[in-house]
Amino acid sequence: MSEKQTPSADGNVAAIEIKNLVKQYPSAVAPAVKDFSLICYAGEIVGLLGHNGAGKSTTLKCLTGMLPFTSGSIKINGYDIKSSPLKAKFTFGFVSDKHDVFVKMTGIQYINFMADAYGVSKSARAARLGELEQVFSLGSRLTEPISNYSHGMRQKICMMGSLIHSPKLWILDEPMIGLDPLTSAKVSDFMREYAAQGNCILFSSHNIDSVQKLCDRAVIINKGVKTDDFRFDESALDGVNLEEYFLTRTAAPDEYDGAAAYEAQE
Amino acid sequence: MSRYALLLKKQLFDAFPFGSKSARSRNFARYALAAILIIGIIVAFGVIFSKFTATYTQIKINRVPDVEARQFELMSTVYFALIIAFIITGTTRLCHSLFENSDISILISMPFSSLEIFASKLTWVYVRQAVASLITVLTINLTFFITVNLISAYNVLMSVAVAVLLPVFPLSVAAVIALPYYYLKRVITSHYLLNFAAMTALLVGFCLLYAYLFGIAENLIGSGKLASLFNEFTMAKIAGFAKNAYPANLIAGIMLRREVGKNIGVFIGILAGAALIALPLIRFIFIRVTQKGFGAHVPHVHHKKLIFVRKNRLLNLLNKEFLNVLRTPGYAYMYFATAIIMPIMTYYSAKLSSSLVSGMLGNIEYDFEVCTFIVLLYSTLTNTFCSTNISRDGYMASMQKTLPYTPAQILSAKMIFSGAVSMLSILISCIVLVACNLESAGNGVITFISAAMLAAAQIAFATRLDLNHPHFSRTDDGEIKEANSTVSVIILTGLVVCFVIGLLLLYNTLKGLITGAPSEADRGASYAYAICLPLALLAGALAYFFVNLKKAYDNLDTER
Repeated sequence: MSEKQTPSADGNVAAIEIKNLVKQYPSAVAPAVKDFSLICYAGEIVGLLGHNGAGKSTTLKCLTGMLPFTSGSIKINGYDIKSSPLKAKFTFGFVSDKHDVFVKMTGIQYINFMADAYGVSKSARAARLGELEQVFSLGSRLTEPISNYSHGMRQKICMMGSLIHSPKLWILDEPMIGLDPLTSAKVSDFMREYAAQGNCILFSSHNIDSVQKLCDRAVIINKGVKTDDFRFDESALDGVNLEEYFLTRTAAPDEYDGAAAYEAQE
Repeated sequence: MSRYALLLKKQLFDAFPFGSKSARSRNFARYALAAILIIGIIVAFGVIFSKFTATYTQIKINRVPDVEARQFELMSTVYFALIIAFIITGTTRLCHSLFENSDISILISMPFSSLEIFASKLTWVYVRQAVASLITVLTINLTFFITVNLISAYNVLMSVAVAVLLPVFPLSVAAVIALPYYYLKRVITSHYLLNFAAMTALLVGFCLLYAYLFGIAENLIGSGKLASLFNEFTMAKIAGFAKNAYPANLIAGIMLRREVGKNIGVFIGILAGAALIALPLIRFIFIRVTQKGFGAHVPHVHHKKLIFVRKNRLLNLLNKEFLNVLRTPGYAYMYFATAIIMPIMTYYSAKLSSSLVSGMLGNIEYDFEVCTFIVLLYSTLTNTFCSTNISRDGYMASMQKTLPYTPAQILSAKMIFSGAVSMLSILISCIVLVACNLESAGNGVITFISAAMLAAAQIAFATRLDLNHPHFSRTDDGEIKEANSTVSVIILTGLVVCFVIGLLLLYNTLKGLITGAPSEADRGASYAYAICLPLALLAGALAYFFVNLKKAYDNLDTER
């Protein structure tokens, strides 16, 4: 059981290194995720695309240690999530799609809770909160109990809590749902800036447009299997729009006829 | 199926979620345990109420017996108490149904008329009240009429009719007070200090009532008869109360065949009048709630300044548990209130038992056995909040797994939090017993060790049981509104264990008495039972807790 950061095959320490991940739920007939592999590096924004039930959330849950997995291996910033879970968890922040948060705490109590969990000093957390306030603008509502917050505000406080320790890797499950257009734009800008500082961001989404606008890379998962992994700047799409490409790759022929759609577009 | 029936069926399935096979077997166990508890309570109540009825109806005023008057007073008072209890439960159920249940926001967007939703909600609240009414009224009436030898087909039929109609009046009163109650509750629970003050006031009231009731019981045991307690002054007050306790006295009159026609007429008239006032009122409130979201937000008084305090990582988890419990009225009551009440209840119960047992057994040393049994019993009953150690985190139970804490750190914080208040209340209880000369200092230490080990065993067992079968809240506030099967299992096993240890201690004392005075060896055996049994249970509970713990924690998933 190594406690050290281990570099991936190419010699660099990958932010995420998933190898042959398989997740089989006890009550299900087929695995939710099958032989899934993925490597992400610092500075990248990677979008994980898939239909409902495709295996996006399950993959993220396995990645963050929320769920045990059947086989394969997961390393986060060089730390194995099974053998060095604490070291791995100190290096990432996670925002779930349910906006899970302790609703009986006030916003600032939750931020303090997260900061204490990650061992952030008093001065660092105050400075960090100031930076995050520029993006999320909760203002005086931070001193109110989270139970009084709206859906969008809960999403914001979850994001702030997950970033209080400036993680090298930020993982988000459906991050843009529930955010108002202004905050959504601010979050997108923040993501680009955050990645440019040498951090990695992985997020799952149904929103193909936001993935195309924001990400360097897209990974498509369908029925638990990775079907595509491409960089937008390498023009894997070859002029085809991402939505159409995604549907052609993931929908059954009787559900979506890609050729007909292309002809209609022409 | 009509849409009204469909909505009613939905509520039935919400209340009795028989889904998968495993869920069915879990729910069957839950309902079986609940049934056992209810039957146990009914039997215990029946025995006590029967004895009380037999004694009360024989009370004489100025040496003149008046059995019929006593029967009327007793039944009027009991029905009045029932009506008050139904008003309280009716108010909370109406509030939950109209304001707190999140399904209304979904239902109003579906093709159901507000009348259909309203009628199905109200019917369901009524049905639940009527079931409770049937159980309580039948238990009370059958016990009463069998005891006073007046049982007949008329009484049985009338009992059923009254039980079905009785909830109408309390529900009507509940409809009037539901909205003010809900608003007050929101204000109090939004202001945590106010909430704490209200809880403390409630506690003081409960303690005073407890002291008063035990004072009565002690007086009864000391004097040996009820008559000394129910003197002329008290009886005049009771008679006056029964005369004016509408509509309870009408029901008593119907049951005791006093002016049956007139009483039925007035009773039905009161019910109809109450329903006529209440129905439009509840409908008005319901429409306000569905259309305008009445009472959705109560402003929270808060500090303007952001305070940053750095805490140790384990203290951080303990602080989280503390905030979660303090700011959830139900949990706060279970955690703080019961823990504070426990030493008081222990003191009065030990004092009462002391009077009772000295009357039966004479001047024999039994203090250790009695005090240990009482401390074990109350500690077990007040410790039940540990049964929600995992569930009360709600969906955050899963999210916490992504934080840099080991399962051992998260679970131990929960167990330390539960254990701290348990140990403290057991310690205070033992100090009170020793300080009041109800037990010697040495025996007090052994009582403390015994109860502390049993409490630790209970916490370990309950935490693991909750980890294996968590019951996460489906509401926005994350509160578990109703007791779950883990709570029932913990209460039931706790009671069984306490009574087994208590009976063994009692048997040991009685065995000594039969063969002469209890010897040192008998006392030694009592110590051995008090220490070894909780120790064995603690070992068993810890084994249950640790076996496959990591796997169970890893598999904890709030969505499955």
